[in-house]
Amino acid sequence: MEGVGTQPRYEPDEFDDLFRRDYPSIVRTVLPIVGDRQQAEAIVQDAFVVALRRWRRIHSYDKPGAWVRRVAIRDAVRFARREARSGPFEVATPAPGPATDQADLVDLESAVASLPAQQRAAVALHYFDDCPTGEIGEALGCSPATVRVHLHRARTTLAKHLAFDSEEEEVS
Amino acid sequence: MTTLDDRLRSIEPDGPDIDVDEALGRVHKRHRRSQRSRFTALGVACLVLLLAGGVTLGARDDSETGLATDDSSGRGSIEDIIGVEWRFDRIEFSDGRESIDLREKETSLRFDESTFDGRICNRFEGAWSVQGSALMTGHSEWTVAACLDEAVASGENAFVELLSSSPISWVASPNSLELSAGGVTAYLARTTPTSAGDDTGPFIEDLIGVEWTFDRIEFSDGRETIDLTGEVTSLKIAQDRIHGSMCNSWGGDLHTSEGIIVVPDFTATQMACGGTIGDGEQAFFELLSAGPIAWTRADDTLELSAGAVTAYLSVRGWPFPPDIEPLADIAVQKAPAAVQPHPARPQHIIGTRRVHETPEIVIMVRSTPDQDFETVTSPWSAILQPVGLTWSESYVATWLPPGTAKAWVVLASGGAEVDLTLTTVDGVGIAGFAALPEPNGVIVAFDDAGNEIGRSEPFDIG
Repeated sequence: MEGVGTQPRYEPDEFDDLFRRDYPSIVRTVLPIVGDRQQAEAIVQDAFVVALRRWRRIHSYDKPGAWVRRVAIRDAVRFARREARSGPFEVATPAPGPATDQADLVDLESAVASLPAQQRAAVALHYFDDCPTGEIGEALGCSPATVRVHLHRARTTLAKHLAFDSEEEEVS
Repeated sequence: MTTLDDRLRSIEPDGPDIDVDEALGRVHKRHRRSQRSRFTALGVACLVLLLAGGVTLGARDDSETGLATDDSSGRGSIEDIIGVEWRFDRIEFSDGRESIDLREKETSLRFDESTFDGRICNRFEGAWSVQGSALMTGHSEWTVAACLDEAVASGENAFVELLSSSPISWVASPNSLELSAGGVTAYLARTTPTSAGDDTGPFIEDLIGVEWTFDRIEFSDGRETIDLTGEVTSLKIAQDRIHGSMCNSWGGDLHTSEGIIVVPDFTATQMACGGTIGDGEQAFFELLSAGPIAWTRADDTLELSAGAVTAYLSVRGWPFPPDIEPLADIAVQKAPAAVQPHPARPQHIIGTRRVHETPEIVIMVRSTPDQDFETVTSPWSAILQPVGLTWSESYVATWLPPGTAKAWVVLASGGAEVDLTLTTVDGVGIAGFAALPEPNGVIVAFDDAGNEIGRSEPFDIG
């Protein structure tokens, strides 16, 4: 029976289940932001360590994975900003994509990597995670309108780099 | 035809397969290590070492985070250093120079995972890393203010000397840090409390993005409670900045630790204030200046406490009446013919003012600083096309009579973060700062009560 002062119950394997389910996707989200696979994994692991320390509270959230994702993205953006001060990072070698030309893929990823950190994060969350701008704004600590600007500017830059038409889709 | 959006969606930033179980093992290992670190901090370090029988608690291999950790050396864990707000206690020298006492001075030092920053007299920041058993510091950037306090100036010089003698040996505990290099040893103390039982601690993320309003301010020293109910106040917390308004607008950088907010410094407009809101503002500034601020959030209320002052706030509602349309989603439209840009291509946007009861904006422009201002009254959609305007950081809004500043806008600059204060000719501040990380210009509209009623789509300022 739960009552005042009673700790909510949770299964000890709950954290491990969450980790196994969400870790790869969070790493995938963070990777384009920081541009380095090892660093991306380190950042996401840091976020999970913090979550584990606070698990008694975090497990009661509706979406504990969303909390970890938000912390990881925040730290990734901070990391990317710091890195930007000391020069652009190396672009990780991409995995073979299923239906894209490898050279074009490298060009596209290089172009994404050259974007400012916030724009990279917005692109990653919007295109790779299909997040609406409201959620992206929450993760980045800015308004949805600002997210739309980040996306607009990213598209404009990428279109210039890659000779694409920058015509935009409707962003929710 | 393949569009850019299609191509972006085709990126699979997956890379090689991720070994989830290995990663999970690392996370548990680090968590156990941090638990041991806390146990040690509770005063049973000797017992732990005896039980461990000389077993190395573990130098973290570089593949985990890139930082090496050595718990077995007696110098403490690198994790004890990171993310903690330190202050300088004293600096000692091995060459006979007199030690420098900094305990009463406002100083700070904070290590992030790869950078450090802080303040003695000037603010500084730089990069650091772990190399073997030492800390390596690279180039550091300093502000160049003259230091009037002799001890602070000497302390700063000594710390520069220490940094330039890198590698730096260190000894850390949860509450103290000792840095030593080149015959200079800095002793620092933690300014934020250790996080015993931090698994139930509050998260700064709970505060971010919420707009708060002040309910009341109470004092533990017997002063009378200040009731701010009904006053127009606000407080917002971003990732690394806190800002708001009571009588004046104010803001400052923000550092956080578990349950603690540290605002090393803040700036405010200088309007003279009286009455309840003036008293409340003074009390809140006292709170901001009193050191680390403890905070508690419960549902829609927030409690901030430092020194003898406790401020109680609640989530601010969306106050504008329903017949005023929110502006956030109004699409940028081409300016109607009646509101074409100024024929002289105005070069200065002075400020904008929302006209009470109408969805219109008065925008004052002039093409050179010595010209008279022209007034353009236009609907929002037209304001969003100020083609050709350029941006500068400060303006004098002579068009507003003193004391009438009840509504204002905040403009963010293109690219850079700019602190903007619009002032009337008598120096009365009428606009808050605009250190918004907007990549472009944005107009934020407030009603006459100071409540934000919406913001424009960002636009190019030029």
